[in-house]
Amino acid sequence: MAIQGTTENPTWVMVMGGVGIALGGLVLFLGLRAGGGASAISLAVGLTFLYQSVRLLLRGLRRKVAELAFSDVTLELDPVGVPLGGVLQGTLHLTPAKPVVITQGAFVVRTIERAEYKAGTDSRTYQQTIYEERHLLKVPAQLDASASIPIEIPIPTHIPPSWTGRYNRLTTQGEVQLALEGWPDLHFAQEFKVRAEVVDGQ
Amino acid sequence: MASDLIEIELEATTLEARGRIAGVVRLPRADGKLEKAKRLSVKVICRIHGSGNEERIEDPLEFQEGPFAPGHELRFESTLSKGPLSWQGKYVKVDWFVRVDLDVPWALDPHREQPFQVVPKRLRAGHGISRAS
Repeated sequence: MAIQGTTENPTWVMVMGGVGIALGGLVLFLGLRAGGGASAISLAVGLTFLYQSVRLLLRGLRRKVAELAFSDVTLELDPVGVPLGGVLQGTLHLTPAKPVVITQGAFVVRTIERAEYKAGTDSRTYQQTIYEERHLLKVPAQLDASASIPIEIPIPTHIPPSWTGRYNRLTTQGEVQLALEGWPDLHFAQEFKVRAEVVDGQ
Repeated sequence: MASDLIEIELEATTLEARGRIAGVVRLPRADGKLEKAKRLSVKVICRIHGSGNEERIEDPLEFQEGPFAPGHELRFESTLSKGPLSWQGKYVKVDWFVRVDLDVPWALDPHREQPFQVVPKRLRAGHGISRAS
C-alpha cells in the first residue's frame, strides 16, 4: 500500500539512501587506499556521508514497514485550501491490514520557506520551517476495521499564504503522525493551500 | 537612481491581494528631459528575492507618449495581479512597488519606485467559512 499525494516517496528516500551508502563507501575505500592526509579527509567525508545515508535509508524503510500495518491510508484535505485564521477541514481514512493499536495520533502543521540559488554549476538550497504546531487527533485506540477521523485544524494569521515560483516557495503542509504498538510510527506529510485571504475579526 | 523629476502618489499604501491599486504620477518641475521624453510608463512589480534567484512579476498599468510639460499628471488604476503577499522572511522576501519610467532618447531614463504592502483579502466569517478559535 502506498499513500498517495505525500510530500515524500519512501521508495525514493530508500534509493537515495542506498546510493549515498555506495558513494560514501567508495570515498572511504579510495581515501584509505591513497593513504596520508587524503585518508583522514576521506574518512571524515565518507563517514559523514555514510551516517546521513543510513539515516535516510532507515527513514524510508520505517515508513515502508509502517505502511504494512494498513491496507489503505488516505488523507483528504480541502482542495480549495484554507484562509488565514480559518479552519483546515479534512478526513483521515484508515483501513488496517489486521487489528492495530494506535497509541497516539497527531497532525502537525508546518510552514516552510525555501529558496533555490542556481548560477552555472553552483546550486544551493536554503530552507527553514517558519511555523510548526502539533495538534492531537482523536483516533480510536484499537483499530479493527476502517475508520474515518475528522480533521479540523486552526490556521494562524501570521503565516504566509502558499506561493510557488520557479526558485522561491512558501508552502504549508500537514504531517500525520501515528504511533503504532508493535510497528514503527507512521509519518507522512501532504501539502495544502493557504489562501491569500484572512477571516474577518482575526 | 530614483529621479526627482517624477513623483508617485498612491491612494493607499496597504492593499488587499488582487485588490484595486490607484494613484497619480506627476512630473512636477521643468527639465529639458521632459521635452525630449518619448514615453512615460507605469507598472506594478512584485519582486521575490532573498537567498535564491530573483523572480519578478511585472504588470504594465498605463503609458503615455511624450513630450511632457512640467506639472503633467498621469492617473492610473488597476487590479493587482496574482502574486504572493508582502513577506520578509530569512530566505524569501516579497516586495511590491509601482515603478515609473520616463523614456528619454540618448539619456539615462529617469525612474522612480514607490513601495506598497499587499495583505490578505478580508473574508466575512460565516458563508461556509470556519473561524479559528
